[in-house]
Amino acid sequence: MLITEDLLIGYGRKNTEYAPLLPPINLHIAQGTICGLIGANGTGKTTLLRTIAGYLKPLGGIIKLGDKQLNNLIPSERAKNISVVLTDRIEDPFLKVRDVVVMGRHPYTGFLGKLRQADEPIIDESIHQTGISHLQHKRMAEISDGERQKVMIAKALAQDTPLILLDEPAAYLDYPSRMELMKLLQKLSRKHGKTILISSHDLEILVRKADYLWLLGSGRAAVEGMPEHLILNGSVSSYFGSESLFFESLTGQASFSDQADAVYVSADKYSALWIRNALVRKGFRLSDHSTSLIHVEYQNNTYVIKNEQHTVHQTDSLSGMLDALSGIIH
Amino acid sequence: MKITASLTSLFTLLILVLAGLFFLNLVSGSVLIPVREVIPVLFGSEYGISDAHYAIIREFRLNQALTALVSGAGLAVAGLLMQTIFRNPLADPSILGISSGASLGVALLMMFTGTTSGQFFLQNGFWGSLGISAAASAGAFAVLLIILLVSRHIGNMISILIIGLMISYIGGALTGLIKYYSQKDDIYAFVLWGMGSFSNVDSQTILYLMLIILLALVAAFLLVKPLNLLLLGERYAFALGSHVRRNQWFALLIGGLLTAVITAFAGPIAFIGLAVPHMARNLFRSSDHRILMPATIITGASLALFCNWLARLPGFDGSLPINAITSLIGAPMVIWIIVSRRRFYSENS
Repeated sequence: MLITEDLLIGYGRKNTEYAPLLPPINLHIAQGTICGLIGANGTGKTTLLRTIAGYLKPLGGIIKLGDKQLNNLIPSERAKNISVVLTDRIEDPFLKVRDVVVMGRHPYTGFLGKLRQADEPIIDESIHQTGISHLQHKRMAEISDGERQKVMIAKALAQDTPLILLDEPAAYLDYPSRMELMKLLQKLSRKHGKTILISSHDLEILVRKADYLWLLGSGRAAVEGMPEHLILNGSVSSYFGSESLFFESLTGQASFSDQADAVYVSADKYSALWIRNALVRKGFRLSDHSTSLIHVEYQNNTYVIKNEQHTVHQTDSLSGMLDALSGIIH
Repeated sequence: MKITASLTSLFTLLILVLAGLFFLNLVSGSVLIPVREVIPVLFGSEYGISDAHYAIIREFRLNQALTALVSGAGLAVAGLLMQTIFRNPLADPSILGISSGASLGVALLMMFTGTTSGQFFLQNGFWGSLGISAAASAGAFAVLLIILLVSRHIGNMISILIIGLMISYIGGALTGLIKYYSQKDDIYAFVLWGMGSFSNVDSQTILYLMLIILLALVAAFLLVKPLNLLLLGERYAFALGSHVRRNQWFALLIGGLLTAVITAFAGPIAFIGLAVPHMARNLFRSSDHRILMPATIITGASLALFCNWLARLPGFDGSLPINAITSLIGAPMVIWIIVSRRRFYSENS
């Protein structure tokens, strides 16, 4: 679990104090989940990410990963806890894909960087997980942007850190590559328990695929929550002001099922959309018949779960509703 | 890195070429001395060898070949260090202004001790060459010191690159001013120094030169891992636990030291530092510094020996200026390498 406590970020020098970019930041990410860091340009996304990565010193407050305080770690220890995927291009003409993944093991190698026997299987596994086995002997200059991003993720996997930070990973990618990238990250968080923080201004894809969002607005206190929760309570439109842009694109995305465990959502059209989005991501099946056994009703910011007409759970929290629902169904 | 058969055979081949060129330098020159005489002389045997031949080899050719060997190796490694830490394929040892500092030192010495100021005693002979080495060292180390101090405060490599270039211009301008007020003879002596030569080092000094360069090369070897990480860029290197600033500073120190020492004794030798790392990369098709470090050492030593041999080919009057030869060979080589790799550079720029 990553936690920031009263974290102040910004650019400061030894002798001069600069005002922090944002009010004290108190956010967290649960272990094994994907968190999107979003906000308009200039709100401090990159600064926050770089502060967590250790490139910038916090102006105040602390960052904790589990019980470790990240901002106090020596470089070699930090490299065993945080890995990064950046937009930086690798310009070397001879470096091969596998060479780059191998570099991920360097926090664990000795003085001259000689690999131990135990390192090879980890490198192979990282290459396999990211689906780049067929590329491993190609030069970095010969592969596409989407492939390059996967190579850098493979490097981060080889680094074997609980936390992976990605800075604008979709910057050079087309839509299918972005979806593929998010699917890969989802697998890494679910299967391998990686905690993943992605900074991006690509709201649409994060709303669909991130488990959690950190929302930054310039000069305002940062907020956090499940994407649909932040949309339904109006945070996204107040911080970002553009959710209507992809409202349309989401209509009709959900496919419905007639099976017994399918959930019927009863709410106004706009809210129902987002609740369905959350249900689909969590692996629930949706029903479009009100005859379905399980109903989720949403009214006045309250979720009511009904099983065969009987109210079985009532909550005002989206994640609380989802937890209760999975208790009922699974 | 796996030690493959092709890697081993390529290194073996390079070492054989190096050994061949070393002997060629001892054998050939204004007088041809057969190999069967050269080998015993190397082991100190005078038996059956004319005094003249013995003296030529022991007093001149051996020193010269060894100077070329260690200078070539040292400059090539300095060039490799600069290209990696500045992430610039055109970086070379002179980029920090160290050679221009050395030139300024020598220009000052020639002006104040030469015919311009009415003094003649430092132009020639032992004291002359020692004085020139001392002046070149003073200039080179003064610039190196400035660069190292500045780089402790400015971490940004691009800024250091620009500062180095500006120091070069300032040094060049001051040297120009001094030349403007100097006498013809002094200017001629200065131009000769600027052409570079591997023949100014005596049997005593070569031992010190070899020792210093050997130590610097060993130190450079210790940087192979951080240099490899830098291939991914400073930020990835940092995230992989490297002390990026500290390692860049050490690389500057080692590269600068090599350049300063070699320039002090051999003059400003052009293009070896620029061309050899590219040759090594192309030859081994690799950017791994564990391969490149020995590869640049051997290739650099070989290229310097080859140029020295070419400069002293019989038929030329005396010997040609070494700097002209290294440039004439190095420059087309760099063009060829860059053109043949154009695809990679243009794709990534």
